[in-house]
Amino acid sequence: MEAPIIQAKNVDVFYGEKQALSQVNLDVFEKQVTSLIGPSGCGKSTFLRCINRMNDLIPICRFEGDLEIDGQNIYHPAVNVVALRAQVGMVFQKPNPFPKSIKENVAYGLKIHGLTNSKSSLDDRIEWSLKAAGLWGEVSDRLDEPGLSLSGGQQQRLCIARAIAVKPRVILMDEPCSALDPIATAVIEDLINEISKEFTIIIVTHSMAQAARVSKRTAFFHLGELIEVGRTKDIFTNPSNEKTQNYITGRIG
Amino acid sequence: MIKEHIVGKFDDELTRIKSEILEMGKLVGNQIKEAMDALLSFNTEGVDALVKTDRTINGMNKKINRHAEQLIAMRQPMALDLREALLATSIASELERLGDYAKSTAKKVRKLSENSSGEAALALLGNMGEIVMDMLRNVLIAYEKNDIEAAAEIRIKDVEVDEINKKILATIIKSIHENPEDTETLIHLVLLSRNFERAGDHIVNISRQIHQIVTGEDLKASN
Repeated sequence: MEAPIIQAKNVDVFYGEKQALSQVNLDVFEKQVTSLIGPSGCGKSTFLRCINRMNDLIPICRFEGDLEIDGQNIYHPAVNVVALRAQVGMVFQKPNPFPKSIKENVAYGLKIHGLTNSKSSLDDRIEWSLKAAGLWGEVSDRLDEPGLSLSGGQQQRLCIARAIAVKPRVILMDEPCSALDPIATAVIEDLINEISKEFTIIIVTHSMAQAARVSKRTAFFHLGELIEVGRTKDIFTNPSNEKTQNYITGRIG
Repeated sequence: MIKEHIVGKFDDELTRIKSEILEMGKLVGNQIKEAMDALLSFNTEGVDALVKTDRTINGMNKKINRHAEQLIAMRQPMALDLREALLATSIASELERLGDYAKSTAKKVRKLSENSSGEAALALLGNMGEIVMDMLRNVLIAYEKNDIEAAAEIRIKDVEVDEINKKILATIIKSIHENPEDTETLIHLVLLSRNFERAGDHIVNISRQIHQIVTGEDLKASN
């Protein structure tokens, strides 16, 4: 098997006294979709937020262990967290476009990271991002309209366009479809499949059917521990661990 | 021990399918027994009733398939639950085939003449029928309890059925040479022996399906 792009080694996370993750060891492979599943409070979102150090924003949160991207420990003191987040983009549960135009939403990251040096290259990158997010056809004639004027599903695709505009290595998705209707969900799932050809995607989802549909590998968390990780088709047909089996078949919550 | 589902109705629906299979299996067992009794006593009185009951068995097969289809559509079962629902349809169809063998055995009794040189073969068929009925009873218990060890024993038992089948064939070939006037009855006895040998194979299939439900491993594929 190829070398992993992300390697978590003995990761522990604490919120004050409470331990949220315990000795998590997980490899994530490049240009694949990996799903993190498990009941609420199992630590899957905590783990996701470790990967772009979003947990740094929580004062009582403490990280121990190693988390490497391309062999570099992202918790090393010399790491520039802003640069890290350009490499590890994030899409949230609720679409959260900036109160700016469609175009400015996509351009935002490119500008703050100084990733384009001319207006034409900026326009090209905006078009590329919107096309990659499957939104270009719907918004190309109204790029100056507010991002918030779009439908929920379109707003989420705009957020994906904003995330991929800076060409990150990894995109984290925290329940990206939970606020969307089934059709908008199907559009996003199709998009996840498309963009996984270029980006490494880690998705937290409460929908096991969604994990089964979109991901190649699935990791099951329970009470802060990584119980089992493997090929999605194995996890959902014949998991090795009894806890995984009990969760996916609806026997433990 | 398999835990119960959070959604209790899901358990009820899986249990219902399981009970329907057990009920169908019991009825098929009765059919085989009645067919055997008819065969060994050359009594054709019950044959019509047996043919009628076979239609009930076919209807049960359809009902189990419908319930499994509904469960898959409504509950989206995963892993062992999915195998349980999918393989219930396979087990029901194996039982339906066993029912067909019982029916065809009973119908054949009408074609046998009582005083032929097939007595030795008939006695062996009696043994074979006993073993097959025993295998069916045990496979249903193994299915009810998800007992893969008991299911494995059934596969071993089938070797005896195959051996008796070979013995019957040898006996009948000899009888045909010695009493060519009995050929018609003797050929029917060969076909009956073949029925029971196939019935054993269907029970073996059920035992493999029990193994697959519990472990996820398809023994037929791994063989």
